[in-house]
Amino acid sequence: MASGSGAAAAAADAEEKESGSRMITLTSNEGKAFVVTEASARQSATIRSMVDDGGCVDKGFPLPNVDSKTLARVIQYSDEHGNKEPHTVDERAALAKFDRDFIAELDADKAFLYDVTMAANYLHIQGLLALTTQCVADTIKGKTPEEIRTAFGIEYDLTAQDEKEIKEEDTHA
Amino acid sequence: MAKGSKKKKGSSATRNPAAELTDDLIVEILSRLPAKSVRRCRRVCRRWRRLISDPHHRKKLPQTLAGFFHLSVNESRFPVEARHFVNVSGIGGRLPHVCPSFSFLPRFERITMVDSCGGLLLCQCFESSDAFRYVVFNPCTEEWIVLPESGFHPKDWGFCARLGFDPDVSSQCHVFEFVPCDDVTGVKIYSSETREWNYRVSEWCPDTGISDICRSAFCNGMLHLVSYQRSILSVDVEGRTWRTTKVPKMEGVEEVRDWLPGSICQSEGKLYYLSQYNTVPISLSIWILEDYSKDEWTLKHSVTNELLSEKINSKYKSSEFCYVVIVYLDCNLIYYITRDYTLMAYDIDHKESRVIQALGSDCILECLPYVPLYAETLLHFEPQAEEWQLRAFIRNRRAPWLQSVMDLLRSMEILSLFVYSDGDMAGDVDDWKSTWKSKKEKGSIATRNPAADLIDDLIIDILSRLPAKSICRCRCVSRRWRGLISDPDHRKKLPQTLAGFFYHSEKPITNHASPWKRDISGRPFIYPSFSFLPHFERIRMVDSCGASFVSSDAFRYVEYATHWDLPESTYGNEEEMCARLGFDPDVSSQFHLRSTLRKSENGITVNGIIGEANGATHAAYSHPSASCGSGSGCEGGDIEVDDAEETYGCVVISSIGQSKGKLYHLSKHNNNVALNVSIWVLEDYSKDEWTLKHKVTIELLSGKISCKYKTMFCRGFAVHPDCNLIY
Repeated sequence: MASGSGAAAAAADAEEKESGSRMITLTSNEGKAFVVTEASARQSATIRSMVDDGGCVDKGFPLPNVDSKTLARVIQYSDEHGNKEPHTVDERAALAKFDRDFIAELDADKAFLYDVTMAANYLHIQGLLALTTQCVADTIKGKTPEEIRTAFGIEYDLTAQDEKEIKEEDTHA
Repeated sequence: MAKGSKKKKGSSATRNPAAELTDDLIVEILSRLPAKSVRRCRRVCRRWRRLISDPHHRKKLPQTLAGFFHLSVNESRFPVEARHFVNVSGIGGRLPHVCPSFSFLPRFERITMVDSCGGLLLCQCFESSDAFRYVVFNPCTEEWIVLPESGFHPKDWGFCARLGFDPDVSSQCHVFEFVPCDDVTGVKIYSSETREWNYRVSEWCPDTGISDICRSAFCNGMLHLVSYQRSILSVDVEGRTWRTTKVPKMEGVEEVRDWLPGSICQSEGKLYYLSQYNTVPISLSIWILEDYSKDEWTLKHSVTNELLSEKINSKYKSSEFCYVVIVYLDCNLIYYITRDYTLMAYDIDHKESRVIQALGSDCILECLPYVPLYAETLLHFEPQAEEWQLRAFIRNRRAPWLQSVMDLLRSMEILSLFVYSDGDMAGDVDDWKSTWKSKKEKGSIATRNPAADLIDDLIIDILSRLPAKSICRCRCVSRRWRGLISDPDHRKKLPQTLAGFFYHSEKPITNHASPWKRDISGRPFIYPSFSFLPHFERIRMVDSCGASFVSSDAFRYVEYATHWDLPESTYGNEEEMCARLGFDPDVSSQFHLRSTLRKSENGITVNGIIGEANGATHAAYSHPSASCGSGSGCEGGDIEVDDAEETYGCVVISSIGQSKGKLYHLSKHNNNVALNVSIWVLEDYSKDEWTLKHKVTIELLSGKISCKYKTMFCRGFAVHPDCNLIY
């Protein structure tokens, strides 16, 4: 994982000031720092715009809405997609396989899946957002409203009037 | 995040991160679901329901069938061909209705709906009787593109055009044109990407005929059609892949003789086929094509038409053919039209049918299903022809603020092209008038009668002094007179008789083209869409008087026909409104608008007269006060009559008409069984004396109506003493 690269290497790379090879520090809401390549960080539109605005690249980016566990997982995705550019069919297939495994792992832990989804939304990582929301959508598909309420931890708050209105709408289509 | 924290409080015992999902994320997730699931998700909780019905999110979420566009043809009505939209999704205001007048399109002589697909409509818009352009548009976003000419001539017969568009896959649409459709030799495909028509030679077996009444289905980049040779034909958007798939076979049915062209549809990328066999009872079955490469059909459901016609009047029950409009598998419904022109839906899951709407016997069976698409897709297509944009622009040219723009354009000679085609522009009319005149004068040279020497203008001048009833009679005098009276150029001067009625049809789940006009004089002239008015959300016709009409909209009164303006009145919604228009072109060119507020109790408060109330004469006022009385039943101006009527029985309804400055009063009495209708004339204002003119019973009026309604309430809504007719 990117956090292992060390701060010294990050500082050395930062001096080169070459786009793509700079290192960027992301800090989770628990204060843990993650050093990632700029290419990886640029997967996030939120960070990309901050970097392009010439902001606090050296100070790193605090991410108050993301915890360490989620951030680590998000970085795993953005490293895979940011640092490699698939050129051949095989490489593309490998990346698709990575996505499949990545989401399958998340799918097993639903609570974590929602955390990653929200982080992807907050960081504006389009690819990851599409992957996770599609996964959530697949779980909704074919479920009754009651099952969906259980899956999402939603309280039943429709009044009799609401039910009646929905029924009226449904009688025609 | 406020929402999230509220949710967390509710389920604080077990922390569920799913409840913390923001609105945007939920919409993002829902947008990846098929329409059927989204519909079901409305029942999850109030928040989800609100999200799904929010107009801001409609653009992203898949939509279910909103309704059908259909056409009705009625020779005695204007317009003869009327487009309608039948709403099937829910009731009233909450869910959108679609206005089939398509008033955002440029002005065309005639618009024929051809096909619908994925929220877009394909129409043939006729510029003249033999030249048309295809127009693809989205009724929701009011985006439209005019396709270049395909080279096809509408006089050639046997054409079949289909639209292929799937917003989930691509934002590009394709139009397929098969010519001729009974023996397809090739297809012309228009792609919105290249903006060109491409011709491809057919690779289907020769003598393949497309069933042009059957709808097509567009899925997986292929257009699928039903052929008369018991197969499904498919062609891709580039015209490179051509495929023929045999339709599924039914056991124990003689295939050749009893096969009826079925219908195809797609749902979630799968192709479905509804096969119909002419057995007793007619058997319908729905098949799914699971695998393209194998041509294997799997039976999903099967229905007989006895099940479909369960709820229909027994007269039609016995094995009559129902026209299946569409199999809508996103909601597991089959929509069909029965023999008595009722649109019905059959629920496959619950195995029950229900009536949606009676379409009326003048409807055309071909209905276009419409699933709204709120996303702006056609914007990607550059407005290709400025000419068309300009036409749409000057469509509203009668608006005063546009007038100056138009003057400017005309000075730049941009408009010269349109000025000629518009017909009501001066140059055109003068041309036509002079040729017409010379022709007429030649015809009357032989006769020596000095009366015949009267020039046309003089005759018109004489005629214009006659009452409308006499003008009707004068039409029978000679061909020349008849020509003069019906000449559009002279219509301005001559009094006119009742041309027809505007009427609303307000069925809760139907949205008709707009109130249209029933033409009873055989000379259609008013198109009831009132497209020359500026855009309003809703126009409600309130009253008509002397060839002007008032409509109220958002509490603005609009008076138009000769001109229109917008005095704003300040009425609250809660009070029942009663607005009447007073206008008598013979007496004054000013109009008066009288609005009356009917308070909750009895009694009328005249709130004020809006309009230019100068030069008011007694005659001009006679009508507004009269209609005040008729509009509110039997109050106000005709109290005198009430006293007399009490001896006959209770008054059901009365209405008032005026002719030649005299006030007529039609009263109806509910005298035990038979309704008596009598017409009174108020000869002298000062004396309040009524003279009985005619008497009719309701049985005479309803003599030609079916017996069912004979003794029921019948509303005489206009007395027209000019022609001695009651409608």
